[in-house]
Amino acid sequence: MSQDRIDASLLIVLALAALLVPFVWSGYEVKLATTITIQAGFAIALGFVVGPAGLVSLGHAAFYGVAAYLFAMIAAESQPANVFTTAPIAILGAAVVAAVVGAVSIRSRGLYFILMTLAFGQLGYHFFHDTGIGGSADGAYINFRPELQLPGIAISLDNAARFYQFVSVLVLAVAALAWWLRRSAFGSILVAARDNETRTRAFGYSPYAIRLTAFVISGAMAGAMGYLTAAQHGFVAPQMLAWQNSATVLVMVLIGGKDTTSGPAIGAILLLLAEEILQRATEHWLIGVGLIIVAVVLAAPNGMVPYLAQALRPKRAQHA
Amino acid sequence: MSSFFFFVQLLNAVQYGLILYLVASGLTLLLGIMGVINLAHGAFYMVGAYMAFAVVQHLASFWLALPLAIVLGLALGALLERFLLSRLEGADHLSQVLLSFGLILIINEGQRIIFGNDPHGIDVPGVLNFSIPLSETFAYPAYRLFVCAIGIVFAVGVSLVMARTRIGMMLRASAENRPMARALGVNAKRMYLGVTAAGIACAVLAGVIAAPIASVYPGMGDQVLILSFVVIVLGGIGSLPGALVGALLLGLVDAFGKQFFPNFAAFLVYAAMIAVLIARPQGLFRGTGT
Repeated sequence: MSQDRIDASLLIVLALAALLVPFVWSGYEVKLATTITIQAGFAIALGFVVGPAGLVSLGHAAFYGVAAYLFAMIAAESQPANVFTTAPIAILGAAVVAAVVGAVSIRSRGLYFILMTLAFGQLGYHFFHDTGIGGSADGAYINFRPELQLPGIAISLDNAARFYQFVSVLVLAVAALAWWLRRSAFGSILVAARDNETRTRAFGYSPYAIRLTAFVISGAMAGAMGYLTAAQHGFVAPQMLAWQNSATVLVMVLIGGKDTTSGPAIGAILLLLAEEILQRATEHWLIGVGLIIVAVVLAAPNGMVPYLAQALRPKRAQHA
Repeated sequence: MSSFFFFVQLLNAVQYGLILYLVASGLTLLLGIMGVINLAHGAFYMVGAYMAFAVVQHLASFWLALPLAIVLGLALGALLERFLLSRLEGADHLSQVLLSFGLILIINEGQRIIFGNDPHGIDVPGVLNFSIPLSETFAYPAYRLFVCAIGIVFAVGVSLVMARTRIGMMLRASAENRPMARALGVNAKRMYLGVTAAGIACAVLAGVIAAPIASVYPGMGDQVLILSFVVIVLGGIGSLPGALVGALLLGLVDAFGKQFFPNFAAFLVYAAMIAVLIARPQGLFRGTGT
């Protein structure tokens, strides 16, 4: 099977698995599945710029965190906020920040770009950590989980299973959008600009504008995931913006395979499940996570999904 | 502001900048010559600091830690290149990023298993445990001057090696144009082994030297790693003179930022880096780029 078909099949399998979760599990497992699903969405968002656009961002946690903080600031203190008003504001805020960061950073290439985004992310971290806005190092609480409020009805998301369903629908939408964008003409131009900037320009496209568009879309997706995380925990903290958070998501993207849509999601699932299992076995679980990362990178340097695609290729097509 | 106060801050800036240079020089060589983004560089710095702590505790001598750091660093670097990095040659550069991130987790957790979570102080070695009076009110610790001296010797030594020796010539050629240097007979395998070993040794050594000033704590490598990346981006990838200027610049921003804007020193470092990169997207000095 080609990498594209494997990717699509894996996405369908993941989507079905995601929809089945609330019927199979309850309680703690559903909360764990919620966290994993949100992080998978975050990894898909980052993978979209790391893969096709070739923009290795180490500052995506800033967009994730800014949206979370925006939500914490606009959410009412004494009653549940409305998802339909607060989520668009939070996501739009993340997109605006991504537009500013992208506009400046995309002029730099390679390592310079990585560190430019990292510097912006750290600026964001120190902004919330040092200035007293948003509760400084202590973070801020959101007293109520937001509700889906439409004229006449209000659907509460307080129930863990219902909140999980809300999260999985949103993440599946993000995954579908990322998958569609990768296959669209826009995605092809992104890849073209990554692989040969001069020729892409000769075709009449502006690599800068195209990359910036992709970066803003990805930043907005990351913002949506930050909103969900804030809604899940009812709490935001500066650590959400720190570079360690960006790096962890980048690891998920690379482990799964940046050139696919399902790869980053699988990377997130593998890493978080490994964390969960190792945490029960030993307090030094991080060493196990480190060993898994090293083992995966030595066995499959391009990520697990491309490795799978390679392994499943028919023998005669191996060199085609 | 008194001129002595200014002078003390200047000394602090130089001393901090030189330690950063010691870490960043290895990082920039690995990047410029091998194209390796080694996120674990800060972790090796931490290894040095903890080694200093262990040597002082068990062998009761700080000075022994210096040669041991070089031996340990060379060995770790050689193992890293021989068994891990060389296997990823030709693969996507991001795979090395991923590998080194895994190494950070392993090294950090290894440190917790061996030494636990508590921070430790290390006494300044007895011979240097005094201060040099600058005026009636200002004195400067001798150990910090010693750090400055080591840093200056290292910087001069490195620039002499780079400018005057055959190895330096091969390194400069490789940083400028890797395939061409190879075609002209540079033994890439040996050079990669040497660069990785030397680069890691510098990081471990820097950790030992910084230990009596910075104290020793889990995760201490993270901050140094990020600042070292800032240094090489400011100076241009692969450029050692650039790294020196970048490190001293960062030392200045840090030392004076802490005095005048104590809450925003970290903020200033990143803001300065963004400002430089907006003006010069390829760093202050023309680097080789990757």
